[in-house]
Order: sequence, then structure tokens, then C-alpha cells
Amino acid sequence: MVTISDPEDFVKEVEKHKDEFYRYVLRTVWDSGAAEDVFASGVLAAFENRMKFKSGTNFRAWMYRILTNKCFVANREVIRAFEPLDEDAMTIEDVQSVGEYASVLDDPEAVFEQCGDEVYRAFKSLSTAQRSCLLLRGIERFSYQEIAEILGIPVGTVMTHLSRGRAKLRKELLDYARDIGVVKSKPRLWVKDDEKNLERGEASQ
Amino acid sequence: MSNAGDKERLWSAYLDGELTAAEAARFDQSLTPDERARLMAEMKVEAQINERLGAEVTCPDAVWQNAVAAVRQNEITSDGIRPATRWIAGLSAVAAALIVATVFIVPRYSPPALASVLSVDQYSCVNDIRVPEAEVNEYLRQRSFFVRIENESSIPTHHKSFLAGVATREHKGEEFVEVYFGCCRRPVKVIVTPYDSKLAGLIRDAAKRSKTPSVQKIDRVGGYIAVLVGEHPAGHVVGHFYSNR
Repeated sequence: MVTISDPEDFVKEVEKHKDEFYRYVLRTVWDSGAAEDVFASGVLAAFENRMKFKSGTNFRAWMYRILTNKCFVANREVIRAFEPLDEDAMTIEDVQSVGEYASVLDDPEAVFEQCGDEVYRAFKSLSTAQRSCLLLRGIERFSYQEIAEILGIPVGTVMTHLSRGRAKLRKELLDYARDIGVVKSKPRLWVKDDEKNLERGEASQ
Repeated sequence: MSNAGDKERLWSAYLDGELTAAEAARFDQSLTPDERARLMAEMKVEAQINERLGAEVTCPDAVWQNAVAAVRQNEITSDGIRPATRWIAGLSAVAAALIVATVFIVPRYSPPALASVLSVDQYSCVNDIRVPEAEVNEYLRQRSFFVRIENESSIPTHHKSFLAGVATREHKGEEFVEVYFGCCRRPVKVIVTPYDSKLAGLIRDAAKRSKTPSVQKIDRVGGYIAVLVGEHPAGHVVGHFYSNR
């Protein structure tokens, strides 16, 4: 059971996870100089509020809540409970309907081998909320419910951030891969359902 | 919420394993073979993304030390001890520790000796006479310390920092250098010692065990470490130390 009321216990507990906490802040804030300040102020804020932590509850989630708040402040963004409906927001299906994306799906390892670092730049283009959700889910393996509690938003909004973030990330990567010639245009027409009575195979260029 | 949006979110939840067994089965049944194939491929794309975003990152030691120093500072001030009083309390503690050290034989790690290195009581006089940067750099060069100070005069004036002196000291047979600064009329100093020296090892060990409340920052400068010591926040001065190699 984690207890952090004693300052030494607090420091030891944070130190166990400092690398993952720092990585989260770095990927969410992105500017390394700002990340150092955000990390330090997050640790200090956690220390000042350590008496509010209930022993036996999830210390990591508690710390991430504090760090996430600091990241939003640093990025001058606000955590909204509900994301506005955006009719123009791209979906993953939209991305998948682009011809070149088929090359990505055919061999993701090969595509990422050539433009994997672009992931960082593309990730930076997402909103703070989308970055937080993707990191907390994909890297830190928190559940949707835990992420919702960390960000103080409904589970449905977490799911929206994840799906929109994933779509945008894929779109950015696809654009880059196309620009550098890693993927080639390969029109692919979906096998539609029986009701629409459309069935075509893969079309070659 | 639109059906397309619901399907998108279900897709994400399926990818994340967040659907119950029954929900996952229903979703799976709703997929066409092509959609299922795409979903499987997207899992590989997701794995590639997470591999890169989740690449190991080490929290820089200096960043961690700064965070701990801020916690220590808060711990002390939250006890209601005023900074000015802490100075006197610190001097008394060092004096008491030195008396104890003369009575008992201390093994390899000698807290009192290190405490005196990591205090500014040896430099308690802050004057307004600036020491030229060039003279300090020449002093360091003559003593074969391949470190220089640069652009010290560009330190923001609101900090009222200035280079106040330099001296060579010894700790257990090893020489190290102390560079003194005045910052907002408070003394701070930067200890410069080779990275692989015993003193550097002791300071790093003590810092790991959070036994260095007066240490504000530890930075690597080429083959040396620069350790900022003092009660007044002056982290900016360490940024003016450069390696000559």
C-alpha cells in the first residue's frame, strides 16, 4: 500500500516512476525546456497536496492527474468535458478510403521504418487532450474509466479524443509518407455490404 | 452522436480491448471481411505508433534534482522556518557536525565533511566588486580545469547576479574549484570537480539519497560536474559554464 504523507516516502515513490512521468510530460508539452518546468512544478504540486492522496488508491493515476493539469496550463488549453461536434473532423474510415493508405496497411513495419520519426511531429499536431488520451491509453495502459478520472471528463469524451486523435495522426503520417514517396497510390474499393449490391475487387493502378 | 461517430468510437474501443466480451462479439459480427482485415492491420499500425511514442525516456538527473530541491525547499519553509533563520540554523548544524566529526571516526562516506563542502559558510561575505570573467577563466586554465565561464554579464539584470570570486579547495586529497557568485545579495557558489572524482561521486550519492538540501542543481559540463550550492535560487548561473574540450 502506497503512503506518501512522509516527505521521504513521497520522494521515493515519485522517483520509482520519474522516467515515465517525465516522458508523459515531454510528449504532452513537447517543448523540452517547458517540460522540465512542468515536471518540477507537477512534483511540487503533488508534494503540497500529498495529504489528499488516499493510501491504497492508484498513486500513478493520482500523479498523472496533477501532471496533466500542469500540461494543460503550460499549453494554454482547457480540459473540456465535451468536445464540440466537428462535422469536418476526419475519421479513420476517411483516412482508410485514401488510396495510398492501403500501402500503409499492407506493410506497416516497412512504412514506419522509413518515416517512423515523423510520428513525433505528427503527434505534436494533436490537441493536448488527444495527446494525453493516446499516451495514457497506448503507453501507460490506463483504462478508459481511469483516463476519464485523470482528465475529469466523461468516458465518451475520452473515446472521442482517442478516435479523432488516431485519425488525425494517421492522416498526418499518410501525407508525409506520400510526400516522400514511401507510399504509392493504390486505389482500393471497399467490398460494400450486400444491401448496396456493390462488390468490386482490388483495382490495380 | 452520429452513427459514424459511434462506429468510430466502437472501433477505437475494440482496438483498446475496452469492450466487454459480448460487445466485442457483436462488433466483430458487424464487420465485413474487408473491415475485419483492415482492423487487424490497424492494430499493427497502432503498435508501430506506440513503439515510437513509448520509447524509453530517462528523466535527466538535473531535472530530477531540481524537482527534489523544490520539494525540500517547500518542506523546510512549510515548517515555518524563515529563510534568514535557516541560514543561522544551517551554520549551527554545520558547526555541531564538525564537533561530532572530531570525536567520532567516520567511515568512507563522511557526512560532516561533505556538509561543509556543500555549504556557503566559507563564503559569507558578499561584496559589490565584480571579478572579471576573463580572470576567473585564466585562473581555471592555470589550474588545468578545462571549464570556462561565458557571457556571465548577460545574466538578466533583475537577478542582480555577479561573479564574485574563485578559489581552489581540497576534499580528501582531491582539488576542486569553487566559483562564487552574488545573487540578489545572497551568496551562492558553483563547485567544479571532475566527473569521476571521489567528491563528484559523494555528491551524486548524497543527492540520490536526498541528503543535499543546499544543492540546487547538478549539471554535467564536459568532463566535470558543476554543483550549484546556496539558499537563493540561482539556477541560471550554471548555464554559463562551458567545457573547453
